[in-house]
Amino acid sequence: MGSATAAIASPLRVPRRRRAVGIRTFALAACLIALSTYLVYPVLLLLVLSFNQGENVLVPPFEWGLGNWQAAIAMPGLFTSLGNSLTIWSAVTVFSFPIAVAIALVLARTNIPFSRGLEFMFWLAFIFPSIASTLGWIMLLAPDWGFFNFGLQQLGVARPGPFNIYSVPGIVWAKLMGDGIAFKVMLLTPAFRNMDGALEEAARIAGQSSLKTMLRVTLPVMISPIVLVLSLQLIKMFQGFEVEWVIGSRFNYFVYSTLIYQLIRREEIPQFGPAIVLASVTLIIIALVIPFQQWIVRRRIYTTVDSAFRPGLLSLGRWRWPTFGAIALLIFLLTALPLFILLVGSVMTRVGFFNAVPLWTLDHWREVFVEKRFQSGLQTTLTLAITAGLVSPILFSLLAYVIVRTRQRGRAILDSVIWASAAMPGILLGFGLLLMFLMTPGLRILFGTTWVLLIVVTMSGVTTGTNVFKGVLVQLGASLEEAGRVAGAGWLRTYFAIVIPVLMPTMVLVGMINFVAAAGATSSVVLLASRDTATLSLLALEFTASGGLLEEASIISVIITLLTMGVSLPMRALALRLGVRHDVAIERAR
Amino acid sequence: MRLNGRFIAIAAAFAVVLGACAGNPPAASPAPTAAKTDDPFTAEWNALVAAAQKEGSLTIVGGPEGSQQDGQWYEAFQKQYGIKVTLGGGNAAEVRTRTLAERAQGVYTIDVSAQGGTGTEGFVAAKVLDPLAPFIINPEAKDRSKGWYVKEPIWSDPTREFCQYTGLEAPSNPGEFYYNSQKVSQAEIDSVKSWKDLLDPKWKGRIVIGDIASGEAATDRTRLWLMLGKTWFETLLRTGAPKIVTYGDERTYADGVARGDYQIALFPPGTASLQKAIDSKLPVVRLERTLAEGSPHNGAGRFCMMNKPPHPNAAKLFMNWVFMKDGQAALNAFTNREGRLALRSDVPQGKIKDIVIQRAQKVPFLFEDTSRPEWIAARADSQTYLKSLFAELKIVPGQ
Repeated sequence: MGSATAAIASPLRVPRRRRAVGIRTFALAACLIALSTYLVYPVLLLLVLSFNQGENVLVPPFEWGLGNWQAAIAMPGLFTSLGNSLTIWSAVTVFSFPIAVAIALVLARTNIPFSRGLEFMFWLAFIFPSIASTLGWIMLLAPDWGFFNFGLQQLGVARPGPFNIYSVPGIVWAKLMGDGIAFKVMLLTPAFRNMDGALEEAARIAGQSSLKTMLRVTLPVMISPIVLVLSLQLIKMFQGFEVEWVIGSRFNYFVYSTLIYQLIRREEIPQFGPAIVLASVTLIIIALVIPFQQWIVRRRIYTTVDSAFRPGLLSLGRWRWPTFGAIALLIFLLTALPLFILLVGSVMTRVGFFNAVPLWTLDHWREVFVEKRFQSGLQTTLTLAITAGLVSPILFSLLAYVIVRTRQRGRAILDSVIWASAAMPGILLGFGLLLMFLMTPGLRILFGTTWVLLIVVTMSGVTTGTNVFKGVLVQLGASLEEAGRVAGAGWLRTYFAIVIPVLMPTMVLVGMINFVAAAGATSSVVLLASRDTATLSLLALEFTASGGLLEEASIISVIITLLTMGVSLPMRALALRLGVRHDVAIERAR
Repeated sequence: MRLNGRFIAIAAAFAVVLGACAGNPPAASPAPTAAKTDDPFTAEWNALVAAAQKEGSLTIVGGPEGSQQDGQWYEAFQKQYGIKVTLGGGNAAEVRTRTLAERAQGVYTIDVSAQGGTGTEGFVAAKVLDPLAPFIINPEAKDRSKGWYVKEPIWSDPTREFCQYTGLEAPSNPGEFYYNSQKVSQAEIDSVKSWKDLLDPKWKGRIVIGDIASGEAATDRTRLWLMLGKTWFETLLRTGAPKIVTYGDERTYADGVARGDYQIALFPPGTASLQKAIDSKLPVVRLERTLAEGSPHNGAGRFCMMNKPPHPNAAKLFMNWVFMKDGQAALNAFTNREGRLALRSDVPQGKIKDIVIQRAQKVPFLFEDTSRPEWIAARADSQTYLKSLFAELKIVPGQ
């Protein structure tokens, strides 16, 4: 990164230009309308239909009233499921957040060995699909037949085995081992690395120990990305689906999202009314989160990366290698162990049964590869994931740039719309979009095609992606852009020639997130995909949910894992080579 | 950007994967040549085949197990006529929602419904089906005087208008009955002469059932309700302390039986996983002996014509084919559903076990018409009662 001048006192705003009403404004207005239509229209459609208490919500004649709301409020499971959501979210957050912050701090701000390698492994852990991780841990911790329980029984340690994945702690564990920790480490570590080291140096010069410096200086300075990630975590409370469904449904434990799914998809007659009402409650909760997050973003000075950028490293002393070992063990639990177990399970005649004859077989692999839905699913998944991985960073960085750096009218509305969109559980947003595509004459032609899924999977990461870019843009000094402007570059040229190269690591991050999310998308696309356009993850979920095809589901999960890693890692390496590195190695080289 | 050899290799490999994944069109049509004939039916039939092949595809919506259990059967039609068969499906609520949403907006994507009981009833109630009889035109499919186990069409809907069964179930008992051969001794299983014997206190806590209050194993439940009445169910649930697995959780159910956690297994969520356990030489046994109550046959595999199908000729051809010798022979050759066989007795046995054929041929031939009002009422009454009993006993399946 080139040299630039120092601190900025407040989030930078591009000076308003009186002549700036032209094609740019028109284009941004069109963008705002398109996004609002995509994100708001389905929500409005569902909310309006929630007052239709006719026999079938979708089919005339409509009968307007409060029946659905009354039924939802009277429904015994409603508050239970909300409480369950809160329980799971709280437990996951309580465990994952301190762990993730600590790991990110250690990786970014200490002299732990192989910090880059460990950080990379957390990327891998994030890429590892949640459904694959969950299946792996089911095979390990299922009561009686899970490998851990089976092993302990064989050793005579415990009978029956002590572990039960089909429990609340089991869900929490599976979520932690899924993306509960890795996602946060992945977001926080780059932010921690980019922090100005001058404050830490000052603390050390003042005689503070490394630990005190970390707790009293490093951590408070990093409160912004921490709060941002925490607010993203809050939204994820309502987005969690696969783990809760795959595990929780086995013992009739429903969180908010799986209750909605249950109401819509599992009841003999779908209960759209109560489900839509439940979603509305989510919107109310999110409506409380948005001002809080915006308050956090606006109240602080975030410029920590500029020409004075000099990250230093705290010494771990004798704890250097034990800390490394602990993090390496965690990475093993996050990735290698469940993947290994999936592979073992996929070649067992019946996973968990060591008395099956034959014990080992490749029949499951053969069955999966000749399954036509697998072949078409692979094709669809590749198309969706690559498109989402390439398009979303550009789109979301532009949106973030408009929101953070410009004074375009309506940007606050755009920001709110993007945040509010995260409130909609994928399954319900998918249904809203289904209606939108069916009810809008110009869009009807897209129904049942891959194009619909492309739009959905690309846009499904809009909240996370845009907010990650917002966080980085707020943190990033505007001096570089100012230099571009002084040199006579326009808004768009500045964006592409200066901002994008600076943002490249973040673009890779967001592209990766969306690639992985698209490859593993389930709830948002399940109502929109046809048999011809079903993704591999939908197939895996179907095999898992039907219960009888655990081995086949594990194979598909392995294939999704290989696919995401095999494609996204070279992309990452390539993009990083093109991008700007503000890392410790460069600092060391100086 | 410098493209090195490794990058090119990765790109090439990726291109190969993409190319390999590209969908292939159905196999070249081995369409019967439209021989010139004066026979009006033959001309009509050839015209139908030609029109269907011109449409080129057919969309069937089935239940959650459809692809797994019947996929090869549909592929036989695809191979015979060169018409691509697309199988959609899911649980009844999912299919109904999607279909009605589409149709409310004038979008018609499904030609044939091959769902289970709940899904089919939903389609009948939603009036999205066409009366079936006018579409069955081939004499081979219409004339049931010779070579059929049942001489009349078997309807699944109460109005006997929209949906017919395409297969026959010849079960050994009115309900599926499995047990763990290591936990249940031969003497114990031999002592079970009647379904009522399962109410003996010695079986307390040893039985597992599916979530029958939520509609699991509806046919088994209705048969036994008609035969044994609600008292049998009440006694089983109040005193037998059966384990109850979550709706649709076929794997937990089958694994539990295979491990011996569950020793007697009734009302299963599905039988495929149990059959796989048997095939893997695990100690799971299906009771083939017929108990005192006997067992009537019944239809299996409901097929209905959607109204306004996108491929009307392919749908019509398919609905004839499933009752013709080719379709029925393919059913015997490819079905993965235990105890199910073709309606026709004049087609090859295929993979159907001898014992199933023997049961189908037994005399007197008892047949349960599941479209009769008594059956419909028993199906509804039994579920209503069980829901209330589950609530009273605070039964939560899976816990």
